[in-house]
Amino acid sequence: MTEIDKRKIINFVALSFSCAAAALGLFWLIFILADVLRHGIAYITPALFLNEATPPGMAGGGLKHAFIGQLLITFFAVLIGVPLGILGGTYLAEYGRHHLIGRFISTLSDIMISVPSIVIGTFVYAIFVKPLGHFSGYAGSLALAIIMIPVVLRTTEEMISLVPWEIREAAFALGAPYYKVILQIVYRGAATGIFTGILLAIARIAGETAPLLFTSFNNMFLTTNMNEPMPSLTVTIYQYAMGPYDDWHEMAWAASFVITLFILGLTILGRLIIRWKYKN
Amino acid sequence: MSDSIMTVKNLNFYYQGGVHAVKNMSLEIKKNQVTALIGPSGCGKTTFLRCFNRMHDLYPGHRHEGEILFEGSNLLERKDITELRSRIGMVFQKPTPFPMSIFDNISYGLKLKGIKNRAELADRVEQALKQAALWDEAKDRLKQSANGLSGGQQQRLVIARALAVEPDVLLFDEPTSALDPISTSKIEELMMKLKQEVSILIVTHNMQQAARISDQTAFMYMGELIEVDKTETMFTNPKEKLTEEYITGRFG
Amino acid sequence: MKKVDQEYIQLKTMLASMCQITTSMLQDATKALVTRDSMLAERVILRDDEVDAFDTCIDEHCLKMLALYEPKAVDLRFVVTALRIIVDLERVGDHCTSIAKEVRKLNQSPPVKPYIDLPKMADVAILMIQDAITAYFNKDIDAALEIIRRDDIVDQLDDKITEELLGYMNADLTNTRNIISLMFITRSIERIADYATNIAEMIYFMATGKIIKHCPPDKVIDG
Repeated sequence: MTEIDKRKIINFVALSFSCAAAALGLFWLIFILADVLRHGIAYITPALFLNEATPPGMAGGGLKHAFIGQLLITFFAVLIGVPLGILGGTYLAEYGRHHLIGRFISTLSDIMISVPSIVIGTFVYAIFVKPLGHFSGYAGSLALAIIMIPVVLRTTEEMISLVPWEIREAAFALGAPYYKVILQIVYRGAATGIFTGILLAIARIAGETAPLLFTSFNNMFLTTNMNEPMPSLTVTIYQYAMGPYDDWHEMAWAASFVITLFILGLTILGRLIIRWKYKN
Repeated sequence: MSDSIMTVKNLNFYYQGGVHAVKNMSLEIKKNQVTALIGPSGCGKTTFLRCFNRMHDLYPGHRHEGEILFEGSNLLERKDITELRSRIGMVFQKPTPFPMSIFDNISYGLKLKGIKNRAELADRVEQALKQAALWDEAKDRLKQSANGLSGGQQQRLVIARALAVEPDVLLFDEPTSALDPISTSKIEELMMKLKQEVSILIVTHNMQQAARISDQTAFMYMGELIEVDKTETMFTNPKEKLTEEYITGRFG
Repeated sequence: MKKVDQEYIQLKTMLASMCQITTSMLQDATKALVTRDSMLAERVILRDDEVDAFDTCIDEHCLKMLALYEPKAVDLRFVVTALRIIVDLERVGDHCTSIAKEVRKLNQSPPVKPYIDLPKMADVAILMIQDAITAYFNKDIDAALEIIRRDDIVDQLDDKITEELLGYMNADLTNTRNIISLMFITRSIERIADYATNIAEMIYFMATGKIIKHCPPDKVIDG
């Protein structure tokens, strides 16, 4: 057997294994998606979006309260998480790049990204819910924001670092002060990247259940008071799926479908923006 | 020879950690002429060039001695860096268009200087683009992103941007090393034309470029100025043996 | 305009001037012979310094162009050819000086004979030099080949005049000194025409990159 034959065999074996592994992963992904699609799409009705919950067994119930709650919690999470993340990322990429503390924070954020979300839920429970004595929408937002911050921070840092240093020097050479260089040049250059990062971060938190269980808890009624326990889609799915009633199960499927579609949409949008950016 | 616009006197420059990058340089930069700085990599020519518009101020730990006289005062001691940098512009090795439209790129420096009048901005943008021989190619796409221009056009855009603030001196740091020969020759022609209005100091690895476009050539080696003379003399009959070895490619 | 283009224009201008001086020197030397004008011959001798000055100046200019612009291909051959043309033009100048010196000597005794073919031969040589420089500027191969062919006319005239002079010498031996002077003059004009041929060969090289100096002329002309 020649050397080339040997290489060809090794190549074939390696290729087969990686294809099999990819197929296995894809199979479950498609299986889950198809299952959610199959079960969920049947129960999508206008009532799901327009009506609030009804007592079990009563027809015409919807998840309006959960949709609105989810949107509110996510909105406030974004409101807290995005500015903090962007500012932090800016510090790390611009001012902190040569400092030990900068690199330390950067590494810490990497670890934060992979911390189980339930840990963050219990953490917010301990420092926010427990002292105040009640669950609240704010607590949920805070938990989601904490998940979001390291994601946004690291993306921002990386996107800002991608802006060539020469461009900053060129701006300095025209006499621009550093803050103007960051605001007018660096942010413009990194804008699409940062925006994509934010979209992906939202997609990440939109599907979180665990951190909300201990913070915003749940509620069967429509509320816009962030200081009260808040319903959210994910927790509602969890609760309905565990519940004994068939129409709860149906609504859980439908809600799963909607949230999956939402996250899928955001992710695809993010990818499209990235591709569009690098095309130009 | 014509008058000097800047006079370097016994300039020493040390980087963080004490690396002595520029050693006791003294040089006259002639008004309305092209002065070329040549020398092997790491000889300190870029470091020297960056002293003129105080680019080193961005980084901590450096130290300098000596002076660069510009309009009667030592520019290394000046307080108003923004003003200084608008008088002494710089063009870098890679084209550095800002991520914004062509118009905004050119007007950026003007806005920094506090010019807000739209008509005046438009006038000066047009004038700068014409000076940089880019007007005909860019006039129909002023609102489009500068990233859509070709490499050579981007470099001319950067030159136009530097010209818009009406500088007295332009520093070029290997401005054509990332460009193809045709763009290179356009930039070179442009420099020949521009020297009527500005004094030019160019660092180049391409000796032939120095020969083609400069009036005065300075050869640096290991942070020291070995020889400076009229370009013609430097390339036909240099006085120093080291210079001769370098320009004949017999170095080392 | 690019700086390098200006340099080429300057080179051409200087070459044209140098050519103009040498050809007018030959013209004046011949005129001095025919009209027995020793003052004019004297002036021709003095003008050799101008030719030498141009020679040095063009030499330096070409070196500068080679050093600063590193011309390639036809541009390189153009500059190198200029360097060689000036060597020949400088020799043409020297020959004119020797003709003028001979004229000065001849004018001290009565004329040997009327000069008809000699001025004709000089005119052909002058035109050859002038045409050669024009062909150089235009990178004109056809003109160059035509100049090479014209050398035959000069050679024929040279033979004819030499024969004639030998006849005069046989008739009257007291004239030998003057006849020899006239032979020198004829030989100088013939050499000048050779230089023109030489230049034409270099022009062919410049325009095509082919060296024809060492081929028989018919072969070149036939292609």
